[in-house]
Amino acid sequence: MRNALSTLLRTALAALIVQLALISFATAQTKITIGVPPVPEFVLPMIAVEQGYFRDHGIDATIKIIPGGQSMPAALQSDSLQIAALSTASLIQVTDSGLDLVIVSGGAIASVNDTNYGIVAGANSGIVKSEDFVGKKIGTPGLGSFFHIMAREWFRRSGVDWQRITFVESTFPQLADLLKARTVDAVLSTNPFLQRAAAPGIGGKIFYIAANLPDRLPPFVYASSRAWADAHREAAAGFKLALDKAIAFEQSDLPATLEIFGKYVKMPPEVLKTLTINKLDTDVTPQQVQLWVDMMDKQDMLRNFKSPEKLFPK
Amino acid sequence: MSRRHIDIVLRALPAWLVPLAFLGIIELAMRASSIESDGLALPSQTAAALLGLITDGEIFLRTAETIGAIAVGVPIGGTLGLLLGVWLGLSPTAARLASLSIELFRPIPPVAVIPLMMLIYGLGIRMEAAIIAFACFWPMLLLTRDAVLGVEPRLIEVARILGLPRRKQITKIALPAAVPRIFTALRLTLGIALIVAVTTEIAANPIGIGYAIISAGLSLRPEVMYAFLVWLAILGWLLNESLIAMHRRLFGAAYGDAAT
Repeated sequence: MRNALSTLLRTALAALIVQLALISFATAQTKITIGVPPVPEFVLPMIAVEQGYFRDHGIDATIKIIPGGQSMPAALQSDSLQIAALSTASLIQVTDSGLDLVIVSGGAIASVNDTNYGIVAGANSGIVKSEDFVGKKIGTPGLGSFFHIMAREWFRRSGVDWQRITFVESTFPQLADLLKARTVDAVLSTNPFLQRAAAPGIGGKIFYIAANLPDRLPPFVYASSRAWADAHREAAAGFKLALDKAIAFEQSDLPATLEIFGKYVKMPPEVLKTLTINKLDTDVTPQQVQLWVDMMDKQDMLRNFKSPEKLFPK
Repeated sequence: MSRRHIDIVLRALPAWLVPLAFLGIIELAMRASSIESDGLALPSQTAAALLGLITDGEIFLRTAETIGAIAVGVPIGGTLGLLLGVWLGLSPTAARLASLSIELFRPIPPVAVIPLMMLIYGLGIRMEAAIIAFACFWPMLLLTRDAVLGVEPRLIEVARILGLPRRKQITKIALPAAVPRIFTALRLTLGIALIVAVTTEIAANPIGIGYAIISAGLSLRPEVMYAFLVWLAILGWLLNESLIAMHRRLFGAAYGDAAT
């Protein structure tokens, strides 16, 4: 009887210890909400959640899909999101305006042979070279967005004055319709919308703009408020490490990657299959950010921006 | 068929036939033109998508989020507007002093306060409710003020002569006389709240019906986008019908007829 009681007590004690250990493990996890737009380039955090990479690094992450990027900086500042995918240009711009945000990790790299960013000329627009765009109208997803900045820089480097081209704003899904209806002469887009605009009868020549832009341009990064990054150094470092593992996963298994993306962003299966993903890379340097600063400076977009070094937490 | 017969047939037609016929014409026209677009969907595809959303429950989740924000925002904005409206209706001095401030702040579009509210409350129901409260405050304030001003002045005068204290003048005379019009203000306010809620969700807040509409559009599912739009129309209609019914029940057929 005494033995049975002692065994029971020992078992209860062991169960209690295991329970406490589990609780302490659970509380050790840093809870974060990550905001990403519904675009395949932002699949890394989704992979890291699904494959448990975040959990391995002490992060309990929730993904919030947020169309457009305009609300991300304010959401970071108000702590609704702890980490968000921001275009590098947008990060520079909001920092220039006074928000104190920093880069937690890189996201992707646009190389010169990238075919993910392009201007599709209308089928009968008569546009065959960069000079032909003068006096024409281009449908653009977000005036002042990183797409728009890249396109203006591309024109500048091609020797065309972009101020003689009219850019009109539209959402991605409407671009192909605008081109088809000849409301615009060309559209600036990315995949999968780019390929849809380039369909026979709608689009003509495609100008892949990354080819004439600086190499290793980081189109977007993962950012947080400086206060959060300072208070959660381990989680911030763990975030980047988890994304590194997610990149390895993405490179080894694209179909599984797209399947994960489809769990978060419901797309028609036939569209999901055609998705491509840019080169993803979590490393980003102040020199790479400076490439954006230079482009934005030439477009008179900045007032007080000091140095890209400030965007990297110490 | 004579003109009289046509009139009889037209009078017998139910109102729901009009939108149904309209959708039928769109379906036929789209099929005939074999139109292809990332932003359009056939009404039949939209109906199937709506059925799918009802079956998997997503539509109810999104509706609960939108209605939840309205359920928080309208009482806050509405009550504040109501109280201030009653006060301004009863006090000419207060009305004169507040008039400039009201006319300065009232024209601010609710959408314009989204960035400010987002910084204060972050994403989610609190931010949306705050914007809805801001939007509902003004019509409630003005309509309540006008409703109180519209109370027969002799009633207030008699109450004063009888020596009723100020509080009782409000609760026994002004408010009961103004309640039917205040209810009409509430109907109007709820309509505004639904529009503001969905607009906020489309523009910035990742919850609710508006968020579902923009997400479906961006993920190349126009049929789902239109299904949510149709649902939104049904929701607005249901909301209005139930308020009219409530209006009739509370204030009688005469007021009910006026309400429609």
